[in-house]
Amino acid sequence: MNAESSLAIDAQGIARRFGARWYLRGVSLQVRPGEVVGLAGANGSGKTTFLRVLATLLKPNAGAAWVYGHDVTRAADDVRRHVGFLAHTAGLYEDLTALENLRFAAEMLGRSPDGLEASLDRVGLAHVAANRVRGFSAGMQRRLALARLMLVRPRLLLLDEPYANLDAAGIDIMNAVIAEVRNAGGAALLVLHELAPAAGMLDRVLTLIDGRIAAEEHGPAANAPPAASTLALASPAGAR
Amino acid sequence: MAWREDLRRVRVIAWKDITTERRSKAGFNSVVALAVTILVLFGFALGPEAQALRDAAAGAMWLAALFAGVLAFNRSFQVELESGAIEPLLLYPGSRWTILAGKLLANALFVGLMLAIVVIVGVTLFQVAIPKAWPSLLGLFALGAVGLVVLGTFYAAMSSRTRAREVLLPLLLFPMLVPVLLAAISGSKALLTGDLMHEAGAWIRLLIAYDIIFVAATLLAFEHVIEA
Amino acid sequence: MNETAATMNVPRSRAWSLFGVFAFVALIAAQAYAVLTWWVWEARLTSTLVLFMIFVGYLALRSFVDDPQQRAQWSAAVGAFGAINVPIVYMSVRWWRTIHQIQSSPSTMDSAYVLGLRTNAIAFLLIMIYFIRRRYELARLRRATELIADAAALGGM
Repeated sequence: MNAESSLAIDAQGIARRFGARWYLRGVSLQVRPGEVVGLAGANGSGKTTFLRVLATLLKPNAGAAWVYGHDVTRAADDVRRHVGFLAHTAGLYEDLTALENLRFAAEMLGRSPDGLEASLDRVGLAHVAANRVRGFSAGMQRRLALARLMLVRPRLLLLDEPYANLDAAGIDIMNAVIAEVRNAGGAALLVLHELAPAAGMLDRVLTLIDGRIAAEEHGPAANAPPAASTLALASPAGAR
Repeated sequence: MAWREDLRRVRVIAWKDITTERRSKAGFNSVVALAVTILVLFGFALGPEAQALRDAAAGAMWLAALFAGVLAFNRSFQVELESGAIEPLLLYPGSRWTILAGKLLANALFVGLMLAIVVIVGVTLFQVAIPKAWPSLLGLFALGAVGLVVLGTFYAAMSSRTRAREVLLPLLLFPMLVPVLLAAISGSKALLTGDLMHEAGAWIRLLIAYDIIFVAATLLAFEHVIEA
Repeated sequence: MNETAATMNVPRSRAWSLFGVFAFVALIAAQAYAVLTWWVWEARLTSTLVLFMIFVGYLALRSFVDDPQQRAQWSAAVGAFGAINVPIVYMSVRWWRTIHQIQSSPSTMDSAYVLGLRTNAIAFLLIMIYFIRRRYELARLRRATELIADAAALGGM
């Protein structure tokens, strides 16, 4: 699949191990433009690993994946131009100011340094633009990471537990960004521990158990808190 | 215009490293302090007789710079690992070698400054007379510093991500730097004692060859080593 | 599988480790030729010592990296750099020595020893080549077994 495909994410049989332990045992899924998909699962189920494979941070041991038609292993740079990735850790330079962190990102991306103050304002950090990141709370660092991610002008958002450490205002900002990308024809894949903050945003929720996709829920059911049926799936005896 | 993009990335990364190190307070000052301390200890170990000190001056200065330098090299990647900044860094599209090149420039600046201070202190402590051939000496020191920085930075990219970074970097680096140390110390000694310009020339040529070979080798190998 | 590149590196680095073992054995054997002193800063001896130290660093790196793919990549780089450095180390140590002493070579040794020295050197080389080939094959087999085990673990995809 070389030409620009119509799928935001097309993953086939992605498998990945660390040492002797297989974290992903053949994950296949597809996300279309305009979709916001949630990926749920217990700790250690491989959700973060899968996201990092899509973000080109990890190479899969087996299987293949394409982001808008670009192979994540062979056309990694093309993938990176379209993807906004938010990790657990903010990955900021603590001795630089918020504005300097953004300026570094802008220059690395080849973007002009104008409009960075506006980006900070959008995530509610305009008042600390000249402060060093070292003093920031986890929520503030998250917001700055979000502002940096938007500099890419991504068509696909890969967010790892995006609502962690955010207060209500932060959650609103996060959802606004996701909505903006979706409305512009992009897509988003969210790794989630709990579904409540994403209420109303998700089109689908996929559940990952033991490195494989075990369940899928659509529509309004996707935005409900974890149902008894999902909990049943999480136990070894459960099966659909 | 891929070249201009690459050069911009190199410049931006070098600026970022220099700025974060300058502001960290812990870094550069302690590295220099350590180098001077080591120099003084060498003085105790080798002196107090003036001639013995003069003979050992070149060796003591380079070893002090080396031992303190390994701290600087690990730190240049520490800043990326501390808050997980290495991941966003790898996600900017573009050539990977630019990351190494930027860090090489920043480390060359720091090691160069440290070496300058080490030389000033060393020349005083070890009672060395400044020779007529001091421009050649300067060139020799610059070339030797490049040799240190190139392999030091490259190996630190790996060692800083392992469990035993403090001991692994010296273990990997020191044997590989034997040619640099021999060339720099023997060449410095020759120039400081004012004789055999012929000898120093050969050492300088060796350093030039070493620097060119390993700058090229590290820039080529870096992208394979930086990905997880 | 996406691992063919890494697959090649593992047996190669095992072969390199065997080379290092031979370097150490050669060092010990070289003592047999030293008549008067336990250690002398002779060019070949010293270079071999430095090479051995480079090898120790290589082993240390391998022991601290768990992920096989990363270990293969890093070993390849460090091994290649060590190999590039071999002639440079030798040249620099030799220049360092020639200022003070002439090094011992076949032309400076008693002719009675020359034949023995040369025969031993060739024999050593042949043995080393044989062992390295066997080690390489063994490592390839081990790697193939590992890959089969991986495929089994993923089974039913």
